[in-house]
Amino acid sequence: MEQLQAGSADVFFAVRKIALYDVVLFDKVKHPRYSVGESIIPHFGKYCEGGFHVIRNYSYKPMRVAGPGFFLVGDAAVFIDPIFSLGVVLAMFSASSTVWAIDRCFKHPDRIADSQALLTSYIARRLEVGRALALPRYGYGGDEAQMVTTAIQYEAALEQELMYVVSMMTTRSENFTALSRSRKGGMITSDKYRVLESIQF
Amino acid sequence: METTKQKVKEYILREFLPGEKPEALTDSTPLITGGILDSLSTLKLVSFIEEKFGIQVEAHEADVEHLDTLSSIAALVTAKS
Repeated sequence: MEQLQAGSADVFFAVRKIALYDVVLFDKVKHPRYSVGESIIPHFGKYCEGGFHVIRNYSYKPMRVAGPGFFLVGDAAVFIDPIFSLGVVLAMFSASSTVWAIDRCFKHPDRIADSQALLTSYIARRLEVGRALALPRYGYGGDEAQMVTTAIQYEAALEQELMYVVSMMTTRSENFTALSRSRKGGMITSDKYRVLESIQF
Repeated sequence: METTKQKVKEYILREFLPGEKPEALTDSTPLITGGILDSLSTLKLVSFIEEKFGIQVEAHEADVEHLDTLSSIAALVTAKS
């Protein structure tokens, strides 16, 4: 791979890793070698034999979602549970926030590690909320629980209430209920959930 | 600090509360916990204050504690300027 100037190599290596997609430089981004709107894939993109493989685990998450030479988005960043249909939401969230991080890396190539750390903390929190809502026997203790409670604070009161209602609609509610109980500011409650004792026809 | 608050307020009104009356957004209005800023909007806000005020927001500072009100944002900017 062509060696780029120090500082921007991480970003361009990440682009090469997702070379199925054409990538052009963002507006307002100045680079000494490429023009705005120019595809950079011809410079770096090529199919790497053996570069793709399948992971058959039912649920997984990576050790990190960004680092030297890579950004993970969508199902590459996490896979939780197909029943809850979280994949599309998480894919859009991870893609949008990763675009922000890549843009920040272009603008501040001396702060790539910091941008990736910020992105990682944002995505990791959101992923843990999904895991807490969807996974049975989720271990709600330690750092993971702290990430969930922090992420919940980022949500508006109505969103928190909706998450609570969703958790009550499954048999896996004890995870989120326990986390909401331990949350600073008190347990999330809702008057929007009713148990139907019987249905009359 | 008042100038900082005003610039951030104008940005939030323009980007996330179009059509809202300026007086409805006060120094203590909860931006994140009040549903005005979601997590992606918060990242955009981080970029804005970094570029506007020439500061660097660290990963641990991009949270509710520092970004939930105009007052807390202005305090963060002042502390790092």
